[in-house]
Amino acid sequence: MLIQNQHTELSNQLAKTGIDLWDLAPEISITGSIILLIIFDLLFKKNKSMGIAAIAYAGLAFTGFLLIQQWFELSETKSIMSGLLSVSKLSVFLKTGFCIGVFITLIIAHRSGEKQKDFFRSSEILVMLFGLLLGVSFMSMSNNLLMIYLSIEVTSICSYVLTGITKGKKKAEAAMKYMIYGAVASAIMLYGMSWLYGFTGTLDITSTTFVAGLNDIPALPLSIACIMVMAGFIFKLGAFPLHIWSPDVYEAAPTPIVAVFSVLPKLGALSIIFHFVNAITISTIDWQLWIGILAIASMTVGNFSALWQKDVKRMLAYSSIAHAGFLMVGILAFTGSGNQAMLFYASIYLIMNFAGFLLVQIFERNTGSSQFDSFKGLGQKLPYLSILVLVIMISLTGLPPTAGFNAKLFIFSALWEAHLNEGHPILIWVFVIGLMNTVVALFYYLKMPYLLFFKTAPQEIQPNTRRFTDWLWGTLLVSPLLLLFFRSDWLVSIMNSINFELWIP
Amino acid sequence: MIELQEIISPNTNSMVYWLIALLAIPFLSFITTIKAGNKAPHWATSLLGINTLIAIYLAFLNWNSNPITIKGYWFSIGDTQLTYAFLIDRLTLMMTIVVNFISLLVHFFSQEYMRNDEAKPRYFAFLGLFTFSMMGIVLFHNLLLIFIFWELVGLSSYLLIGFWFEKKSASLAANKAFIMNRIGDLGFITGLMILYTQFQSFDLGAIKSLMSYSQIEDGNWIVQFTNNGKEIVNSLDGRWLSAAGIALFCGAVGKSAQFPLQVWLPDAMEGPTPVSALIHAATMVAAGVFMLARVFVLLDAQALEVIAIVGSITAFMAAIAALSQFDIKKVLAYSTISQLGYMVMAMGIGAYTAGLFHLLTHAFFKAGLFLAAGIIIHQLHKLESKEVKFNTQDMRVMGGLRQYMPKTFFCFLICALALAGLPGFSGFLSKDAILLNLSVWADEKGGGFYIPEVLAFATVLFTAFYTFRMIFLVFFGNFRLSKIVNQENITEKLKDGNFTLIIPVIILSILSLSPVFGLTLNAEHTWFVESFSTPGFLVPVVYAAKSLVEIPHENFEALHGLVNGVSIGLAAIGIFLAYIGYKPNAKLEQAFVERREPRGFFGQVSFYHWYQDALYRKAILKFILLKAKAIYWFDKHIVDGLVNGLARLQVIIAHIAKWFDKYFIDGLVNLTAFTGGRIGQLTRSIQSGNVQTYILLSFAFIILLMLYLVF
Repeated sequence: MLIQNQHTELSNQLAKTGIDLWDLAPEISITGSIILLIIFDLLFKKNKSMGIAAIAYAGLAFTGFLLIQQWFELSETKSIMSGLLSVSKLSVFLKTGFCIGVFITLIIAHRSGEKQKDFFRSSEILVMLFGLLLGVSFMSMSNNLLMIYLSIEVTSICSYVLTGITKGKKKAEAAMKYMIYGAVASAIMLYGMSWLYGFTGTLDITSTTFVAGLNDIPALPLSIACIMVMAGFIFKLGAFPLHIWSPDVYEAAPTPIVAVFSVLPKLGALSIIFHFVNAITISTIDWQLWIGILAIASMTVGNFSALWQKDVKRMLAYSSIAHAGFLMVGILAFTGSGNQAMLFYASIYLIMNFAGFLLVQIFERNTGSSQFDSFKGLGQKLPYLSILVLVIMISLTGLPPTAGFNAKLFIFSALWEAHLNEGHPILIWVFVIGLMNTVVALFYYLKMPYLLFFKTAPQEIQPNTRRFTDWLWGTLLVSPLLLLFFRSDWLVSIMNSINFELWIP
Repeated sequence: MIELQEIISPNTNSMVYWLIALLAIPFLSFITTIKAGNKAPHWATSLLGINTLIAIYLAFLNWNSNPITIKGYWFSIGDTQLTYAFLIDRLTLMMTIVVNFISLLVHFFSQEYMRNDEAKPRYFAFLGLFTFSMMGIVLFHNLLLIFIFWELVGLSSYLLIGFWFEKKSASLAANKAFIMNRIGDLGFITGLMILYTQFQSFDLGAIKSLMSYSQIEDGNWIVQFTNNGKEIVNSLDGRWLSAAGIALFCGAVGKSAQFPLQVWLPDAMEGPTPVSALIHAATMVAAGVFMLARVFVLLDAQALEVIAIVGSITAFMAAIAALSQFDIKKVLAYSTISQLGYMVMAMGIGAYTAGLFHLLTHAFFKAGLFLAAGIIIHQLHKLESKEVKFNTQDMRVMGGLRQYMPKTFFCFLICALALAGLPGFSGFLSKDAILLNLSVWADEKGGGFYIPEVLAFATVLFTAFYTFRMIFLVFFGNFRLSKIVNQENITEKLKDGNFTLIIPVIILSILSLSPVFGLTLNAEHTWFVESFSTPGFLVPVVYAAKSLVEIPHENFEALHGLVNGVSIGLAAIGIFLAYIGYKPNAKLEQAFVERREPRGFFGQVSFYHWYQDALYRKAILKFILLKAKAIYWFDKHIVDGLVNGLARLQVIIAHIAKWFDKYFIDGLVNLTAFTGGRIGQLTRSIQSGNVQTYILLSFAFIILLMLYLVF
């Protein structure tokens, strides 16, 4: 009788898993692309670049199609795979963003001139890139500590490989540092998770037993465990105090890869922190204070360190640390408008960072270097692209007339609203220091346009050809920044249908 | 109460695709032809051919159906919704065919005429632009859109008059045409504004239905309607109603070359002759008359009187001016003005159908005359060489061309007879319809209103005279050029036009025969007049003119024979006088050839077109230039002086500000930057490059954080 029962239960569960697989169609599509890329690479010996690129683009397009379909089919948050994952409109939105990000990465790779050959010669880089995409996709859906760990690890391992995959001593060194640092961060996180499992006996952070179990734990061990788990997330987010790896990695890695690093894992980690923080709503932990401190520190450290950088990619690395701080401010508010502001900021951040790296790549191709000094006086040679750079930098700073301004405006108004609703006193400090940091940011963001337009070139530089395609992609990526400034309601209306509530069983 | 939104609410019909095609094909011709190089003439002509077929097909479908209105939203500003509308009625269909058909013939003709011109892609592109703009005026039923295309027509006319812009006289003529048209358009847009103020819509359908609801109370022009459910009562002084009509008429004055703006048309003959045939004879100048027909029901008695009087004055003045010109195209230009005067006058007296009829017949015979003149000019041009230079349009070098160009002569003669208005030719039917209506109208009104009648009948005489003067000078006698240049054998090279040139002229001269419109001498029995009916006026009854429809038919019957007889008689006298004066070796003919310009007061008045140009130059232009000088002086001394003074003051303030800025503001800024820099150096000093240090530091921070948060 008992065996009979167990048997039916097992078969029911298997049947349900089979059905749940449909909800994982985008991930399956990504996995399929990876397999196809590997097989293709093995089958053909020479001149594979066309085929590899085609598979990559087709895989992305198909995944994107599946995601859009899922967006329209999905009405409420769904728990799948026995509570390991949850599919929500939020995760679909983020995953669509990730796909767009990888697509732009491929575009940037195509615009990198001679280096382009490295990128598409064999499928290795693309397999790793798609692996990273798979990892961040799962990051945005994970509900289970184990799943969180696994997805972060998939992302991290792909990142390590991508950093060092192209030749160069500097790259190998950076990859090594990154891996050691990452391993330590993972270890801390895993240790914290084991504490949490010990406290509650479950790994599912959305389950009632998890929260009920934590309620019985005294503040001291619980805080230590939570801080340790958060350390792993913050490592991926690249925020203070686990940001130290990023400038070295950003400087060494090829520009398209840096573009991915600066956006995809960050947003994945953001979504995990969002889930984690909202799942553990316990009076003994004051999340507003914790995240407030981290946000302030990240913004300040990122912005001030960026002031002194001589390499534009390194500058953008520090700028991404500062942006990680701003992204956390959205979580901090713990309100519906805060969540929406966070998501808006994340979307704009994705667009402007990728646009920024595309332009950096184009300029790098023309000058052969990503040092600030090499950009002197290029404004006369490439006026249109330089104007695009100016727009992106203004958007990164957060000034009108760009969507970067709206993003910061939404974030800070949500924060102010939370402050008025009797939030923690730290909020007002986040507000003041955040605004001051925006002013500091102006100095280093405008450095590049300043050099482009107001300095004269030390020697004659002949800009490369293929200008029209540069213009086209530059314009395509920059125009949403201007468009969404005037009509930010377009994006907001899409986000309005997202339910930020976690799935409760 | 009537709801405005209901009248202008969108509705559509499958015909709209044909209308879009009618607009799109000439536009396509405009944008593609300019790059078509040597294929431009054939390409543009074939496109126009397709368009003409569409126009004919559309007419075939809709001629007997009720008028179709197609409306839609165009764009909105705030709460104001602007709409567009197309109207397909018989007037639209007739104009579509006339414009496309004559444009096609002109395209065809130009293939040969412009063969050796290097800029022919530009020429054919402009023809396409013109046809496109003209289609816009014809098809749209919204005053604002009509106005926009009206301006485009003005532009394309400007571009084509100045086609040979390297010739100074051509570019000046283009300027003159454009400026004169602008003056008229100023009136047009004023009319638009008055009507919009009152009815809050540019849609002609809406304006017409609201006009029929408006009333005159205590001399005020009041209209009540609801817009989006909101009740609106607009009241204007009643005189604005007349003003609106007269203002709209101003547009027609400019475009249709009516007194006092008609001076641009003779100068416009600087353009290529086929252009003159298309734009300055058949279509663009008729646009004014067409527009009057469109707004006919909105005109009140006073506006109509003004229109009638201006029309008759124009017809008479231009007919006088045509009597003594040397240039064959100038004669035709003045004759065009004169005939346009007839059409406008017809509109003014309320003879809607007769006016449109004359528009149609005139389009054919005048285009025919111009194209025939074009052949003559083209063939004479071939005689020019390095040694022999002469003005190919001057009638003093022509003469006796009948022997060399018999086909051209024959076609020219048919069109000329239509112009003179002899029975058997189309001009007779339409002109007599106008004259008959005019006589009835004058009898009805009495008093001073007989003057237009007298002027119109005098014009009949002059028209016949100058037409046949031209024929005798050009086609009879001996070829004068050979005597002038002392080369007897020059006539060997003189030939008739080839196939491409002569075919359009033959078609047009066939269309100038009256049997085309019906085997009758009475215009009332032609198919054209039977298929159009004069619409009733919609203006408030107090201001409305008496419609000719209300006058008993017997009045027309009674006068018909008399008017016919008088006009035939006058035309015959005109032809006879021309024969007496200008037959080969007659006294006037001899004098004409020798003189530089006519002698005597009458001759001078006629040759210089009543000194109108000189008057404008001396009175208006001088005044404007003087004013410009005064304004220049004011600008230079007073305005600039003020600006310079302010600038000096600013410099002083700036010096003070600079001092403050340097020591106080910059000090503060430098301090901030210095502090920021120090902090930055501190925060980036973590980055030592040693991964062990990285991990150590991170851990230290985490532990610090823990300590802070937990305790």
